[in-house]
Amino acid sequence: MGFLAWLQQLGADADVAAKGFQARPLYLAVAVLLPVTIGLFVGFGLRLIERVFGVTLAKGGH
Amino acid sequence: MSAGEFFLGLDSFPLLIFFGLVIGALGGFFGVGGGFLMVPMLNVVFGIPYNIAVGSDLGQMCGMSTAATVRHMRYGNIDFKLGFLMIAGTAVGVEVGASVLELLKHSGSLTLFGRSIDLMTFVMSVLYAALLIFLAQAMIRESLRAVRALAHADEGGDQTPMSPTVVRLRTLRLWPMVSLPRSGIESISLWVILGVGFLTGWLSGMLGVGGGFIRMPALVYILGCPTVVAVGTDLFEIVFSSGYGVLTHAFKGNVHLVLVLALLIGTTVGAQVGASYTRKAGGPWVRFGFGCLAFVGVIMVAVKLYLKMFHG
Repeated sequence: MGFLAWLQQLGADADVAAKGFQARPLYLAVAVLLPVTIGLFVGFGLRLIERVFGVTLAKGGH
Repeated sequence: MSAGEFFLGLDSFPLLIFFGLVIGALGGFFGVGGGFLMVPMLNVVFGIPYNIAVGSDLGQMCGMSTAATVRHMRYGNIDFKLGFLMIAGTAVGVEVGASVLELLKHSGSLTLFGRSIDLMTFVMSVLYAALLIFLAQAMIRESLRAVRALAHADEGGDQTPMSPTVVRLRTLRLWPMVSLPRSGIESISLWVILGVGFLTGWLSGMLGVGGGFIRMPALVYILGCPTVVAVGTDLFEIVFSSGYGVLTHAFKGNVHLVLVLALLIGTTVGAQVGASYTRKAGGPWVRFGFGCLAFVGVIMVAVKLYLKMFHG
């Protein structure tokens, strides 16, 4: 749960109602990099599986 | 309300993964992204405010489209020149959509039939209901047409006549003109490409949907892309529109990181499962089922809005 709690805490600091609010750079970076990293990992992982096992997996939707 | 003010306990993490898995499986089965179902259902089922549902869904979409784009790159299905040109229009559209949502977030409540309701919830519910009705009827009509065509064993490919508007856009000679050799397009106005990008970007920024249901037909019928290139380029475009969308929503505190992670895990697995089952079902009937499913979504949104208005 350590990583999840850290993510929760990172978001909890994003108090947009506070005067002069600016989102934390780390929160912004994680918001973009988390999905992109997982996407790259999954995409290249599936390509590797297709190459190694010689199968064509379903491409899914968008 | 921001992601910081909205509390979502970590104990709901497995439930959100399961929810993502169901939506991902439905999206994979029907061959769509599922953003138009994901956002209203996050609001209806989990009570997540629309601004946070949109911001977090864009994060999920960014991951899913990155994975799919990596796979389409292998098959050379992406027209990078078209994709990069469209990004300019998309970015402006996303920013406008996110700003409208931000405006709604801070615009208080509305009194209707003597009852007070949050303006953002009301406008977003109505927009989603309209979007789902539009998609459902289009999909059901198209699937029934396809079933009839199969029954009459029509041959000779797609004979659907192009509407005058589509023909006008395709032949528009408004400077600057660009050529797209990868898509086999000799010359098309840059403004048409930017316009398609802006419209789908606006939908992404405001409603948290990929916009593929507009971009795909636009790429195929207005620009004249081959379908396989349209699919790859559409996914490539979604990486940027959702990536930019998640960034601009993060600036507004609308991205719930734990929610993004849970949805991404669920949809990644679910999309593979759903897509593998599509092969076993008949194409037109799959689209018919999707249309019916979208109508169920309309009913759920309407019921939630009614309950919110009349039962607090």
